[in-house]
Amino acid sequence: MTSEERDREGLSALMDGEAQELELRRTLEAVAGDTSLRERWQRQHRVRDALHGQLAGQAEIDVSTGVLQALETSKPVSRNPVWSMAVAASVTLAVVIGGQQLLLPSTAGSPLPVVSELGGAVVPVLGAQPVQASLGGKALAGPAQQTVTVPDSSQNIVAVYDRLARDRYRALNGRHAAAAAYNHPAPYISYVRVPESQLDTSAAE
Amino acid sequence: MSSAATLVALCLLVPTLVMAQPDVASPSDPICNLDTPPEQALLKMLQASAHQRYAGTVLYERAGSRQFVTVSSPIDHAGQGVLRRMNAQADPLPENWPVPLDSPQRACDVATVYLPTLESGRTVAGRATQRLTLRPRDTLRLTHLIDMDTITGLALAMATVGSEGNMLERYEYASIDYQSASERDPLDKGPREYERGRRVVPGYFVLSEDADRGVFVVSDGLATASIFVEPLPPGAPVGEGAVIEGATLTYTRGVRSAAGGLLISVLGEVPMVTARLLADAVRPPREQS
Repeated sequence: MTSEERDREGLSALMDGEAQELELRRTLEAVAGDTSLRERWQRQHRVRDALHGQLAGQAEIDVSTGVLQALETSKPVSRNPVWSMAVAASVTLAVVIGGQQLLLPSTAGSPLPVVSELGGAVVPVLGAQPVQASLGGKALAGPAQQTVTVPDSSQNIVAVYDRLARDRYRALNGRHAAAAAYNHPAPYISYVRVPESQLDTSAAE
Repeated sequence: MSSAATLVALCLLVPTLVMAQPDVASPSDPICNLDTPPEQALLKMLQASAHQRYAGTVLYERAGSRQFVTVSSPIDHAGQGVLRRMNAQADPLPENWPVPLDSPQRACDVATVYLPTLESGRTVAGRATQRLTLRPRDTLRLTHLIDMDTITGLALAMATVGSEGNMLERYEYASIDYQSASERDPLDKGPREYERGRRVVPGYFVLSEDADRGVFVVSDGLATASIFVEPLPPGAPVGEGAVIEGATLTYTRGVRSAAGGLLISVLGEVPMVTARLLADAVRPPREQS
């Protein structure tokens, strides 16, 4: 197999989300240095978008360059599989950007795929109350006390994190509203989004 | 290293890690040219939100929620606007809201990442409007449809649309009364300055950060996202999850490293891909080298 064929095959694997991390790096480097390969990359995305009935976007981000930079600036500390997956997830996202697709959940509470599907045994989370690092500042309200049993199942991990997301939304949305108000054309809308009981107006003062 | 110190170290890292693209604005930065009618309308709309004086009734809707609120703008830039929720069972308490940021640079930033288009609009609260559509130039933001008052530029109605064309939330004035210019405070000192920091992901700049609390706020001039870094609950698995309420996405990610476990939460009116990229920007300290 020639180098060109290997690059094309790597590109296809990247498009299909089947590329391994090392292959990702190599392919992205190849894309960065080869104009024809870049054009092929863009053509493949356009064809795929057309097949999915999507209009070509107006992306102005040099995606593959950005991906490469992300890889270069996120060298893993160790061979910890978590961080390797984090890098892979990052790259996948950037590829998604290139494909002009979004992963926005269509409805609240709909399950999302787990990026980090770690193996392991049953992990009980007993009284999950994190230690807060306030260090003189006003501490955030930590995740609510909860007892969660997480069997070794990606679906259960999804459920745990969806629950955590709801918990953090309730706890932190007031703070976010106070910050977001400065940029909204109708600043009060940021507050209207939040139930009265969850408001934190400290940032607006 | 204590968990508290670890967290601080992690939080402090964010500024150094994501600053790979030093794009810090300074007072000497040139202001862009906002020459086209849609760009001029964008600038007018943003300035109106900071300078117009008004009182009105507003309907806000999102999936499963509808609220009527009365609002009155700040009487001066030192004061705050007042909001009352009319759906409240008892006499609603007043809530305060701030004057938004006003800066030509902010309009430039918005025009850089959104494509504004302008067309004739409908009548909202008895006022003629123009439809200003802000479509993102990339996939890192949402689309906004704004009906702005033809005369004043105030955004009288606005709908935020997701990537699949689904409406996430909207608001619209049912009635509005403007104060005349003569009623304004002559000692008006102007709204809070728009001070953007370094760029984090394309088009998003750090607006504020509190490393002690692990709180970071970024914005593209229109959309805002808040990033919260907390310790991962003991025993919690690594993973991610998200919920969306109206236009507000809450994305959480639990990660572990040699430095310990972290729970990164991103709240914002941003697509999922942006929330993930923002979470990607948080790294343990050892990854600096």
